Amino acid sequence: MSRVLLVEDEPTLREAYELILKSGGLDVDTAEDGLKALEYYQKHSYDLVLLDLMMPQMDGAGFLRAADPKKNTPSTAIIIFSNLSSGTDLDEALQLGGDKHLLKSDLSAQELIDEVKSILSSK
Amino acid sequence: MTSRKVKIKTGKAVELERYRLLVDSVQDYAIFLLEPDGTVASWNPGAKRFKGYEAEEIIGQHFSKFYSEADIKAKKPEKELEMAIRVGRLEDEGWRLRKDGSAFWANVVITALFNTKGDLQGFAKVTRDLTERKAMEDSLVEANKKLRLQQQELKSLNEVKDEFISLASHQLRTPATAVKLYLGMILEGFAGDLNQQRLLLEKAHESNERQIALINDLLRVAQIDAGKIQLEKEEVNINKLVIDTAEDQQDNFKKRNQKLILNLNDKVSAEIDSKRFRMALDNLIDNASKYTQSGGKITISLIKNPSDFQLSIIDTGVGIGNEDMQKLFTKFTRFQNELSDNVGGSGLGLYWAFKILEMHGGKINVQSQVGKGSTFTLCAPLSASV
Repeated sequence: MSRVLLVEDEPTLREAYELILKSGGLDVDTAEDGLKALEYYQKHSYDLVLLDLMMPQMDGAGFLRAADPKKNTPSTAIIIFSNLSSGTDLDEALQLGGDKHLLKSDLSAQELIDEVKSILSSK
Repeated sequence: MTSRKVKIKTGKAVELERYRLLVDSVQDYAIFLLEPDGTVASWNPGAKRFKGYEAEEIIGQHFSKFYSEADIKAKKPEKELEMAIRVGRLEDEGWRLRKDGSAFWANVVITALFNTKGDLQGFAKVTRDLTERKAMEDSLVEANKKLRLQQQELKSLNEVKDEFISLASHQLRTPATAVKLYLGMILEGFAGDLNQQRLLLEKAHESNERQIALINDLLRVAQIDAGKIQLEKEEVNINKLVIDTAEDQQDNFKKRNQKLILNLNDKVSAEIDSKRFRMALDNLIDNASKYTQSGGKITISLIKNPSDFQLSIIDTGVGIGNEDMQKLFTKFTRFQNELSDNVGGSGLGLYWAFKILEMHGGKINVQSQVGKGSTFTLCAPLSASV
């Protein structure tokens, strides 16, 4: 079973996405900010990280800088999962190790599962 | 002035008498003579009115009596006479004192008088009381200050309002997204098969989509009002942009049995913020379709000019009346017409489109006739070099 790390600060959304990914047959760990995400990332190995950008304590960019996934775990797919549609924060994240950007508000439950599965299978 | 009787004398005497009458008739100006040494030599009703002295009281006194202590210390009276002699004439505005010690703002003209031989005969002094004028000027300055303060207050209230809208719509986004996800999951079968539940859930889902669209509109408008939008311009093939946008709307046209015609006469490439420009165009095409009856026609034309391009969206719909025209690009405006009940939408789209075109250095023009249709023309510069 593929293992996914979901990083999202909004509890309502975090619960919803966790439910969706689990019903898609994925193994999910959730973190509410970059610091927590870093803890999990260092303890376990993940096939995919769904990373929110705007978070308290440590934001998405901060996590990427600290974890440096391209160097440390090149086989982990990093999806920037944010409601930002453009801007320097998004560009920065993609440069720091994000593979792809998905706009939260665009995706329905099934669409999210399909996207994640498609990325996982193309690895 | 004692006798008013005009005695028939020699011509010169009569003339002098008439000048005396002239000066004595003036109440609105103080007109009087000074001796070469600065003592008051004559007086008139205007002088009495402004300065308060009777003729007998003041004639023979030095004219520095009209000046403030500070002016006297600074030797202002003497300096003015000197200047009048040198230049011939001196005009000044300043405080002068009345008999009772009160001050008034005066405009004073001192003219040095010389005889034919060039000897100083004295000075002519004309004084105007500008107290009223000064009071008006002062109150204007006060009013101006108050106005500026009010403007600042309004400006900051406006900013507070924008911040609030931005914050509120941002907060609303999260639960709206959650509802979308959960409803979506049920409808997609995550919780088993649906029967009668489906219709009700689909209605809820529809409403939720409208919530999300409205929240996004509010957020966009709040951002643009707060000046937080920065255009990301790049060279864009406008023809392709129009074609792509029109294609995305195909379902709407099919649903309403409407015909879309593209008259992209010229090839246009321009420096624009592709995403935002497309949203504005999207809104206009959507409006054209929404406000045109079933079976109607929408035409999009593209013309290139030397330094700008014009994109027109022409519909054969319900049209816009003159009164409604004024409010067309304001926020939350939606009009009552035969199609408006079926339309939906936040009333913010045109306002946003207008602002985006404005930010590009362009504009949106509208021509319309009720019952015949409307033409919305987007005009924008080809290059961002302005």
